[in-house]
Amino acid sequence: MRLLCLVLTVGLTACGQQEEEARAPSAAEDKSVPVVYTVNYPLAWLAQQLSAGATSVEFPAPTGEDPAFWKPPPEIVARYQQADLVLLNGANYARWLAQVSMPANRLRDTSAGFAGHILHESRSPVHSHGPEGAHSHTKAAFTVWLDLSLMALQAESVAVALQELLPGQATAIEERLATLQQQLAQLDTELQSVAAQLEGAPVLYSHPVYQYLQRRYNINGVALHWEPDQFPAEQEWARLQALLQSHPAQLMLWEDDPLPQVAQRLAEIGIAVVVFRPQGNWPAAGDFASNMRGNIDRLRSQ
Amino acid sequence: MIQLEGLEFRYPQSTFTLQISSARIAPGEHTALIGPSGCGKTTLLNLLAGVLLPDRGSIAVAGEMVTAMSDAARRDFRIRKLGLVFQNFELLDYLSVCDNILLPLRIGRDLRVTADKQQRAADLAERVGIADKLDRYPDQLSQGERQRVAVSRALLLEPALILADEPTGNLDPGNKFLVLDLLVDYAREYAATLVVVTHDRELLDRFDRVLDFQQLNQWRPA
Amino acid sequence: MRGVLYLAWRYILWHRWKSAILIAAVTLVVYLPLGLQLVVERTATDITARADATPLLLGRRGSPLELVLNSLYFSSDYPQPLNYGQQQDLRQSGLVDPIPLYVRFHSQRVPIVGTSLDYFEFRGLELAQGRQLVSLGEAVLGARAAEVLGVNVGDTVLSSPESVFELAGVYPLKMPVVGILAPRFDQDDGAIFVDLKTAWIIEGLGHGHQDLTSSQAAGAILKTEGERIVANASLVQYNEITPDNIDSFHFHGDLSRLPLTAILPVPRDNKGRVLIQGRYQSNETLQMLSPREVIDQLLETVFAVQRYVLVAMVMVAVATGAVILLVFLLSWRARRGEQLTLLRLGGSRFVITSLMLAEALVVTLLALFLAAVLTALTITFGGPLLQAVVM
Repeated sequence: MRLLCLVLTVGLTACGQQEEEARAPSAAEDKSVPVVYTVNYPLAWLAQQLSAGATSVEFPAPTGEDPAFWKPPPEIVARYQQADLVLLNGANYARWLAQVSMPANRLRDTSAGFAGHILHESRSPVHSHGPEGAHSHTKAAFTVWLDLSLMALQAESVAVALQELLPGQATAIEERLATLQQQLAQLDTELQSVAAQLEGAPVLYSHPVYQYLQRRYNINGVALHWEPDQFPAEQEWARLQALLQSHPAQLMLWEDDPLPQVAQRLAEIGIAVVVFRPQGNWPAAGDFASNMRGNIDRLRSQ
Repeated sequence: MIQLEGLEFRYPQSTFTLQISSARIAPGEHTALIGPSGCGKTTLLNLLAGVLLPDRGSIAVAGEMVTAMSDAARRDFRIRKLGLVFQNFELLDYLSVCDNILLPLRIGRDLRVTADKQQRAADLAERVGIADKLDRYPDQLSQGERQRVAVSRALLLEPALILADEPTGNLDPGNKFLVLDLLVDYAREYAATLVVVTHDRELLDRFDRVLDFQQLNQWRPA
Repeated sequence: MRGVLYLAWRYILWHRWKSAILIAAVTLVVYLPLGLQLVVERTATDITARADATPLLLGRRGSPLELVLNSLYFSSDYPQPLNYGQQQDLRQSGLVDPIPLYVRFHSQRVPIVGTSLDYFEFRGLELAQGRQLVSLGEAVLGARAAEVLGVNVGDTVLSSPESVFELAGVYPLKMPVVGILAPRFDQDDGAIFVDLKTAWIIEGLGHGHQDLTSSQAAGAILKTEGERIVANASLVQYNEITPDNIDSFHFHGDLSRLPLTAILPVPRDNKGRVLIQGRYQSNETLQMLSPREVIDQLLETVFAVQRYVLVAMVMVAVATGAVILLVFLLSWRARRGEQLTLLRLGGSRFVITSLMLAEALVVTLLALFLAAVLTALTITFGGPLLQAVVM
């Protein structure tokens, strides 16, 4: 028994360490080709698709971290500073960027082209102190790529940045962009049709990360703050019960598989669990397109 | 040692004339040249030294015809063969005692200050009693000491002929005998010829011979 | 000849005060026009080199000279600001890579330059110690700035308030020094570099304070009106950005409306340069300058003044030369007795003339040597000095 505990402890610790370690520069980080750093996986995937090996694409967030809130240590920031191109998501994503110095001319805000379409929600009370007057801190919703039409615009922005970086490959990038946008349009159409089947039925979200999904695909959802790896406290269940009175949802979208007992208890009150991965970080398997198709398939099967 | 023949010299725009038909000073002889101030003693000394050239006649010193020499040869002769001592010492105020003694070596052609010569300067200073003042400057010395420096300078290159123009003229009684004795003793020791212009009759018994310049000069004002 | 030089040297040492005055006079006569000429030329070269290395400059309409002096040489008053948004416009043009500049604050008298990392690359600045700026609130110092402030990597520098009466708004910000640049012998040596956002924080446009909803801030709450909270002056505002409080730092409103003193647009090619200049030609609020043209105008004035000064100096030199010649002639006459002595002792006229001229020769050589030393010193240290005066 003791031996088993020891093995488990060592094993878990090792796993923990693995998760906390930032990704080292990939073996593919080849200094002979331009180095592109991104702040999330969708952008890394876009850059990979569009440059097809002509750049070394790096997204060094540790697995298990939410890149939106991840704060890279100084040595990783230094790697970002030295990159030839840094692709940003915009919409106040990766807030650490506001706290570090970066070479502004090598940053590309991929959502700058649709800044007017960014969703905002008030985050803190309005307050005033000093001569500046009243102000409050608003929070932008950042998972823009879950609106696949916006992601297609991001792809365009990434393509332009890559064309500046690799002027000799402008035409090839243009061609890859066309293919990629076609692929995204296909997924968008599928998602639209699957979402249409919901017919405006109330839906729950485990976290407020599906704002763009909701807007683009007309989903009638309300967000909770439930963690996939935690069993919610009873008061959370009580709040859910109260919410169900006005919002009788029978479907709940989760970022990741919830604990089996959570899924079971939700099933008991008539709520089916659908895992819809936003894919902010590297997927365990497959790529963005295959995982998005997985999301669509899971939603369709409900 | 000194042989004058048919010597005639006149300064331009002056009536004074030096006229000596013949005169001779023997080698090693110590001669006093006396006469009143302004009678031409210094002029004769300058002629002997080759500083002035006569209008007529010849001057031979130590077997060399001074009047036949080129300017350069005469200067060389002056530095190497003559020792000159002046009434007002004629030391350079910006040189130390040692440098003043060594001065001929710095201005003469092909002459150098060597360790031997420096030793010779020190010996002379010792001999004239100013060994402890080699680093001093003329303005830090008494009149007697200054003339002793001048004497040392004159004797540096062991001259065969010493010409001294009123060497004791500016000295107190104690120093004037001292300085004269230094010259006489040297001349005796090195068998050098000594010609001293003086009007101090107290010193005349130190010389082998006394020449009265007024008798020597045959020119008489009209 | 060695003997003659020795005698001349002894003469000069004996008359040391007279010689010193002569040497000083000749030194100044030679050095002043030469030194001035060299310093002005060197300064002009340095100033021009920096202007040449800065193809374009965008700022608010106003004095072009003030804009150039502030942006390139970190001197002069800060010009009227333009918006950060102008930088985005420039970037979107695709013709230039803009580098923002906010040169307004100082630490003691050392200018604080708020910019982006692109500036370091653009100017080719390299670190001698420490590392590059990473986190907000950090500072990298030029070599001379570090020397003047007496700081090293690991120390801190404090921004100075703009005025002693400034009670609200600009609080001094304590910034850790994370790197010191290798000396470059230009204006970058004398500056403190911070991230643009750090410069805005110094101005109070961004700040960090206690969370108003936290219990620690309760004492600072003046009143709460629904969603609106009014805090009093006891609300703790951080005067240093640390890993613990960095998350509380934030900017209010639209970043694109925050101020810059200038933007250095680096054209991607010559065509881009011409096109972007054309675009701003008739802009009523902004001016796009070629710093070289502005500096050429400034230098024209400097050179005109220098010409007058040089003419005056040459006249003074001629007069001084005449006086020095007179001194030598009088000295020659005063040394007649000495010349006669040397002649009688057997010195040739050549030796005597050489001795008399050797004094002038040694004095002149010494003076020329001193003038050369002074000129070298002036070239090394005088350039920045004059530059400071000119600026």
